[in-house]
Amino acid sequence: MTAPSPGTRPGRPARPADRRAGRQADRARGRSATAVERAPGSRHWLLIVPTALLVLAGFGYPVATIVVRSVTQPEPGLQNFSWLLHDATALEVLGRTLVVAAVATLITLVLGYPYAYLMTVSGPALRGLLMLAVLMPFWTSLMVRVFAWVIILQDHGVLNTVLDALGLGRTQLLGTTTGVLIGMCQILMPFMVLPLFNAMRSIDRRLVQAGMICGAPPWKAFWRVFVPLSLPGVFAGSLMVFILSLGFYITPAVLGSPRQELLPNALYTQISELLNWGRGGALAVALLLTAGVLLAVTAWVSKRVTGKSAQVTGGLEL
Amino acid sequence: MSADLEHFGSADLKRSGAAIELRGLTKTYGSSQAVRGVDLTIEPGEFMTFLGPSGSGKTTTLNMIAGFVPPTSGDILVDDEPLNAVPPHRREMGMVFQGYALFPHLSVWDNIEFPLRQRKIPKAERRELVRTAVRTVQLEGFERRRPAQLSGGQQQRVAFARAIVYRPPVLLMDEPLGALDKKLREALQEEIREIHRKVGTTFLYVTHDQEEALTLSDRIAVYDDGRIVQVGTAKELYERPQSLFVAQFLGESTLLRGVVHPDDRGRLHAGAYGIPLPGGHTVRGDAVVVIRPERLRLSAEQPAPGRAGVPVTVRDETYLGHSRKLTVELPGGSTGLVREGPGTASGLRVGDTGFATWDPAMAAVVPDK
Repeated sequence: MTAPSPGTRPGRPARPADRRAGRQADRARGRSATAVERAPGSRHWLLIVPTALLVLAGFGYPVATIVVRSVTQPEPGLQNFSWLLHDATALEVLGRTLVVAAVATLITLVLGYPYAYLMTVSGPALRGLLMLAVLMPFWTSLMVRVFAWVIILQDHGVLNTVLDALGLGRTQLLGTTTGVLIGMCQILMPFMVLPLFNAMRSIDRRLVQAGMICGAPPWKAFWRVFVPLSLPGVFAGSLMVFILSLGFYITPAVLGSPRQELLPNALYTQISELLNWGRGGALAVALLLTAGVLLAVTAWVSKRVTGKSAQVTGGLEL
Repeated sequence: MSADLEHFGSADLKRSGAAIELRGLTKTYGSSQAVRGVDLTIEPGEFMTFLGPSGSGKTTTLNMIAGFVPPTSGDILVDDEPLNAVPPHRREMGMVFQGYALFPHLSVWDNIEFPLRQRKIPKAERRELVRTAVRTVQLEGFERRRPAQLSGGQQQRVAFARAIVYRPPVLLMDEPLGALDKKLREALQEEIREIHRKVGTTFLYVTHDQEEALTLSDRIAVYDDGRIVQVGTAKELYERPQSLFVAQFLGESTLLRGVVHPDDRGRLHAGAYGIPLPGGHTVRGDAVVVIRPERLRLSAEQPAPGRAGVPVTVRDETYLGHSRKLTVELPGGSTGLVREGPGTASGLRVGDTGFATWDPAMAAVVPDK
């Protein structure tokens, strides 16, 4: 700053140099200060206006409409929510949706954790191959993937033929919740693996060595040092998979059975077939609330456990 | 760190240091040899430093002793027990890592307690040991903090406390002060020496900083290209280097190149000069005489009988307060360094010519590479 020293022109408002000095003083006193030096009168916020408008028009408005309809149709009141909470079928669908989402999260975590770990410790060639395998689903259309699963899972499909050949007997997979879960887990795998990999690769590998020289056997050093440090990735991946699971429509519609409906399919039935916007809205609000509550709880737990907020975007830093 | 060292001295768990022996220790990565047949005996309770430029194999040796890197061949013995088949967690060693490697998810207290928990030490005793270690490194009041909330020096102290809390017979340190500024480094060097004196643990210290090695160590093993080229006390290495590498790596010196003829081992023939050599050397052929700056005297007159000397021209002068450092031009154009203290001031100025003289017994002669 080449400006003349403060005080040469008394009465003038604080110039950037003065403000910066003040900020440094703040820092010295231990108060948080913005890391980014903002130019005075910056209009950079204008850059987000198009996106903000798009989100408002394309997301905010429809969501608001749904919420309003859930309490106004067919007449104002909470009868739609009362139905949701008292109708056995609706409750069953809600419960099943939550269970399926939880199981999908658990399966992708159990499969994804060692996978991501292997990616972390492997050399560049193997890591590239593993990354390719994870990203493959992203490059294939959702419909193609789901119908591929139909072929694999059907009663005389590949999987059943193999099971039969192994002497395990044929089992119905297509049209069951198990079939839905298999398809969902494959589609959701990248959303678990990428945040996990992102968290794991930032862990200093010497920390596990430090654990071992401190007297911990390798598995214990891994459990007490590596696993806790990978928790932000576990939270981020689980949250992402769980919330995405709640909204799966095509996969259960094609691989599942109408008798074991999931919430998005029930929602579609209410709105598209029964034209019951009120009950559909109530189901949608239930879905939204579940996701919101879960986000809040995970963020809180994550902060308590790891001292950091959940890096929900972690997997996208590629 | 000295406040509570008595606790360490009197504690029941105190063990004296272990002897370490390395026999033909070798580590090969593909076609490159990181460590080439290192033989070394380290006495119980000794402060041994591995000194060398980066990539010379000192850290690989340390990692083999810790058990992180399996040797390609050779043996590591601690108190005569071979360690090759023992995994790191059963080697009973403490280690301070470069960059500390503190557990970021654990508090200072939990970091220091970690090794004790692994050893199933009862809770009350654990608490006492951690408290003592915390006091030893003067971190009282910081027990609940996470490593990220500490300064570099404080983190270093935590790493040190974690490594010594269970009184291992061997403490390994890999450039532990590398990340700190000079003042702090010097203060911590003092404290490390103090702790070494009191606990009796064998210290194995890796550094590329020759000053640090000279300050801390009982003995120094100088590494070059995967080998130990010389082992000795700081004084031995400084005054009696056995190779040009050691002479140049530790401290400054004036080098005079020439030839030692087999039938005239008392002299180095350098051009027209015959330079007297210290007695008892075994160097033949191309050789270099190494003279430390404080062993050289400048004078306007010919060297006195019994002293060696070469004519020089003073080229540069640096005033250092307690002394004066002069760069001189030697016959043949190479440069030499002279350090003059208050008692040895010659009065020569830049541009003056005279003689640089020394006591031949105080110089070293090494083979030229």
